[in-house]
Amino acid sequence: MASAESRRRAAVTAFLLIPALLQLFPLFYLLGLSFKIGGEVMAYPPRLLPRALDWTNYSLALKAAPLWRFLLNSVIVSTAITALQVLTSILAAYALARLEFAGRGLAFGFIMATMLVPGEITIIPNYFALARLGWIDTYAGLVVPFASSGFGVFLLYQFFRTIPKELEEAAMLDGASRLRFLFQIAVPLSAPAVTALAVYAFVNAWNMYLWPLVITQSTSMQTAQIGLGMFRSQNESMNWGVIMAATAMLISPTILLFVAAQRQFVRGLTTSGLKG
Amino acid sequence: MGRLLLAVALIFLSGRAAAAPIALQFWHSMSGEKGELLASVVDRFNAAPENAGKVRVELQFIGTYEEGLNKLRTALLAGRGPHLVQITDIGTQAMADSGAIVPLQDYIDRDPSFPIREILLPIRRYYEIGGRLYSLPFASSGPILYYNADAFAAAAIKSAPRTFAQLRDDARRLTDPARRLTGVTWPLHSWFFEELIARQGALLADHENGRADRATSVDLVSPAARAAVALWAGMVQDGSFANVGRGWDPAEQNFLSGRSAMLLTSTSDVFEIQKKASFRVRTAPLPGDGSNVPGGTIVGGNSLWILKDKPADERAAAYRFLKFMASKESQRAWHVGTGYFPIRADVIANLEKEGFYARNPAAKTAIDQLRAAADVPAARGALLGTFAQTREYIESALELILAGYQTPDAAMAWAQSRADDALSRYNRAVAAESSQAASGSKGP
Amino acid sequence: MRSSRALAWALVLPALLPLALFVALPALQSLWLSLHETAPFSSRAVWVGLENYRLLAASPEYWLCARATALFAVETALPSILLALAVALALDEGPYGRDFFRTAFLLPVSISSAMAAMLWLFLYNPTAGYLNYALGRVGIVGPNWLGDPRWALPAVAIATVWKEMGFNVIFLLAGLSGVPRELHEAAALDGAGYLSRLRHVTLPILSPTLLFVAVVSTINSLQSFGQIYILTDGGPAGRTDTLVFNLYRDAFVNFRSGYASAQAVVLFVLILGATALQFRLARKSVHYG
Repeated sequence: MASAESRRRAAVTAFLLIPALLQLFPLFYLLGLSFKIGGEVMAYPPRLLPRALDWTNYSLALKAAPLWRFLLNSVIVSTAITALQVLTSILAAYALARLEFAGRGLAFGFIMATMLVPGEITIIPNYFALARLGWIDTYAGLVVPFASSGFGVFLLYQFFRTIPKELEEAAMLDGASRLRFLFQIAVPLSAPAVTALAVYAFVNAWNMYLWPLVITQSTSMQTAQIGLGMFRSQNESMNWGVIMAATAMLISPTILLFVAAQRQFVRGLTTSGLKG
Repeated sequence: MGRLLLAVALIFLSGRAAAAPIALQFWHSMSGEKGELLASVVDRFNAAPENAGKVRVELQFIGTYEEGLNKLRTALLAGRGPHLVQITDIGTQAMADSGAIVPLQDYIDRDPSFPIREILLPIRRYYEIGGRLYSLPFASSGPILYYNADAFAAAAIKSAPRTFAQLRDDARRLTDPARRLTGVTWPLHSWFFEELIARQGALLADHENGRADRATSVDLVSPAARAAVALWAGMVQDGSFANVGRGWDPAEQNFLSGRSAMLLTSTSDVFEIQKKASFRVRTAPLPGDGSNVPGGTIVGGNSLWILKDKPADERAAAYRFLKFMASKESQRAWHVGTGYFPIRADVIANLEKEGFYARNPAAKTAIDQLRAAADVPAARGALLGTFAQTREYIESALELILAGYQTPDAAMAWAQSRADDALSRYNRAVAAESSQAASGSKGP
Repeated sequence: MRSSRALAWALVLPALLPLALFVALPALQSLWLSLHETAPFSSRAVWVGLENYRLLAASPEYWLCARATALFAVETALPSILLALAVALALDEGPYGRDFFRTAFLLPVSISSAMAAMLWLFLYNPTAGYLNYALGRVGIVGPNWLGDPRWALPAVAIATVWKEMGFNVIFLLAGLSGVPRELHEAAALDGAGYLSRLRHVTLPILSPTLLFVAVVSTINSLQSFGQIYILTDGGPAGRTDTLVFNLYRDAFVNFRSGYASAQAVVLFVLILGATALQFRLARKSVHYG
C-alpha cells in the first residue's frame, strides 16, 4: 500500500518536473547571459553557461543607467499608491458598509461603476489634465490618479459588512468613537482582506507600463519598467550581456521579495480573487 | 492628506527651478558609445571659458529617434519642451510645420561667421526647405555595403558587387545552408527601400519628392520601387538573404557573428563594426541598377533644432551651441569617433592631408558615395509630414512580401493608399492650422 | 445624525473624488473627444461628429486589430488555463518537493510583463537565441519568431503564458483545496477511475474557480501592453497590433487623439459587454461558493 502511494507520488513528481524546469529555464538563461562578455553572447552555437563568472556587465550596466534610481522610483510610486488605496478604501468601505446616510446608494453605485471603466479610456484626457496641472514627469502624476480603487472599496465593503453589529454597539458603549472602532477592531478583523488589497495594489502599481510610459520624461523619473525599456534602446549597439545584467538587477528585488513573502502573496491573491 | 500630497508635489516642483546660469536642455537619441562621445563634445562646450558659469548644456537621452519625436510632441502639448532637440532626418517636414521651432536660417542670416559654405552640398540640400536651412545637420550618414573579406576569399569572389545583379549572384555563391551561412542581410527598415529607389534616380513622392511643393502622394509601385522589392524578396526566396526582422541590431549581430557575409547598413557604425568583427571587414558603395540615370544615396542621420518656446537669450545661447557643434573641432571629433561623416568639406580635406583615409579607407566609402550623388531631387530625399507613418506602412508591406503572404504589388499598393490617406489628412490639418494662425494674427 | 452624515461623506470622499476626477470624468471626456479631430502638433479640436467611428468601422486595419486581439485572448487564456489546471491537479496529488514546484511555477508571476518580455526577446533572437538552437538540435528549423507575421502573435502569447500561468495555478490550487476528500474516497470506492472522478467530482466543484480564472485571464489578455511594446511593437505587418496597442499608437505616436478616443470608447463597450456576458454565464453555471 505504501509503495503504491510512493509510486504515485513519484509519478506526479516526474510529471511536474518538465514544466517546472521549463518555467525556470528563461531565468537561468538570463542569468547565464548576464555573465557573458563581448562576442560570447552572440557566439553560435550558443552555450548556456558563461565562460566565467565575470561581473563586468553588472558594473557596466550600473555605469550606463541609474538602475537604483529606477528601482527607487518604482518603490516610491508603488508604496504610495498602495498606501493611498488601502487608506481610502478602508474609510469609504466602512462608511458605505456600516453608516446610514442620504446618498449612500448613489455613492456606492458610482464607485462600483468606475470598476468597469478600462484604464485605456482615461489615459488621453488624464494626460491633458495633468499637463495643465504641470504634473507631467512628477511623482504626483504617477501616483495621484490611482489614489483610490473601486475594487478596493468593494473588497473591504464585503468584509466590513460581515462584522456583527453587536460588536460595534458594544464598542460604542465603551465610549470608543467610530474611527477607533474602525481602526482598532474592524481593520484587524479584516486583516486578510486588507493584506490582499495591499498585495494586489502593489503588484498592479509595480507592473504599470502604459501610464508611466506617457507621463514620465526624464531618466530620473522613470520606473523600473520604463527605465529598462529605455536602457535597451540606449544600449542596443552595446551588448546584450549588459542589458541582461540590468534586467537581472531590476527583477531580483521582486523575485526576492516574492520568495520571502510567498505565503502572504498567495493568500492575498486568492482571498482577493475569490471575494472579488 | 491632500496637504501632504501638495507638499510632496511642491518639493518635486521646486527641485526643478533652474540655477542662475542658463541651463539648456538638449534632448538626443545617441545610444551607447555615441552617447558617450556626444557627452564629451558637450562637456567641451560647457568647459569653454566663454561658457563656464554662464551657459550649461544638459543632455537628456529620450530613446530611439521614433520615441524621441513622440516624447517631444507630448512634451510640447504639455508646454515642457527642451531648448534643443535632435530629430531624425525624416522628421524634418513635421518639425518645420510644427510651429514649435525657430528655423536655423533666421540666425544664419544675421551671422556672417556661420560656416554655411563649408557644409557639404548634399547634406545642406537634404535639410533645406524652400532654400532655407531649418536645422543643423549634425550626424550624417549613408548606407554602405560591408562585407566579410575572409568569406569573399573563401568563395573566390574578387571584388564587392556594384550592381543589383552582382549582389544577387554573390549572395547566392556565399550562401551555404549546411553551415547556416547566408549571403547578405540588412535590417527590415524602410530606409533601405528608399535608398535603393534613390540610387536608381527615382522619386519616392510627387512634386519632386516634396521639394518643389508640398508632397501629396508617394509612389511605392514605380519601376524603381518594384526593382528594389524584387531584389530584396528574390534573395529571401532563394535563401541567400537572412531576414532577421526590424531594428538595426539584429542584422549587425548576424553579420558580426559571421552568419551573413554581407551587410547593408549605415556608415555610422563603421568603426564599431570593424572593432567588433573577428574577420576582415571591407566596405563598398551601395550597389545600383547599373543604368546611367542620375541618382545617388540620400543622406541620412539627424539634425539639431532650436525650439521656439523659450526666452530670446536662451534661444541665442542655443544657437551659439549649435555653432559650436558645427565647428571644425566638434565635427572632426564626431566623425573620427563614430563613422558619421563630417558635415564640413574642410574637415574632410584636412583629414585627407593627414592620411587619415589612407589608414581608414572604410570611413571614406560613404563620403565618396555622397559626393558622387547627382544634385537631383531623387538624391535629396523626400519631404513628408507623415514620414514615420509612411515607413510603418512600407515596413508592414515588406514584412508581408518577404514572408510570401502577399504579392509585392498588392502589399505596396495597400501601403501607398494608407500612406496617402495619412498624408492628405496631415496636409489638411496643417493647412487649417496655418489659416487659423494667419487669421488670428490679422485680428485687431 | 447631522454629524454622522458629515462623517460618512468625509470618509467616502477621499475614495470618491479621485475616482470621479481620474476615472469618471476622463471617461466622459473621451466620449466627447471621440467626436473631434485634433491637429498633430496642437490640442485644438474640431467637431467631426461620428466621423471617427465611421473611419474605424471602415478601416480594415482596425478589424485586423480586433482579430489579433481575439486570437491573442484565445492563444493566451486557453493554454494558460489548461496548463495551470494540469499543474494544479498534479500539485494537489502531493508530489515530492511540493514547495519547490510551487515556487518554480509562481516565480514568473512576480516579474512584470515588460521584464518578462526582455527575457524572451533574447530567447527568440534570430542569430543566437537559444530557442531556435534547441529546436535545431531536435531537427526543427525554428521560424523567425518575432519577425514572421505568422509566428509573432504566438510568440508573444508564449511569453505571456509563461508569465501568467502561475497566477492561475494559485487560484486553482485554492479551489482544489475546497474539494472534500470524502467525495473522492466515496467515488473511488464506487470504482470510479481518476479521469471519471476528475470529470464528475473535481471539475464541477472547481467550476466557479475556473470561471473566475477564465474571466481574469481574458481581461488580462485584452489589456496586454508591456510585452507587445517590448517584443514586437505591434509588428510584423500589424499582426500583434491589438486594440489596446493600436489605441496607444494612434494616441501617442500618430497623435490622433480624437480617433484614439473613439477606440477607447469602443474598447469600453467591448469590456462592458464581456463583463455582462460573464456575469450571465456565472449565474447559469455556478452553483457553489
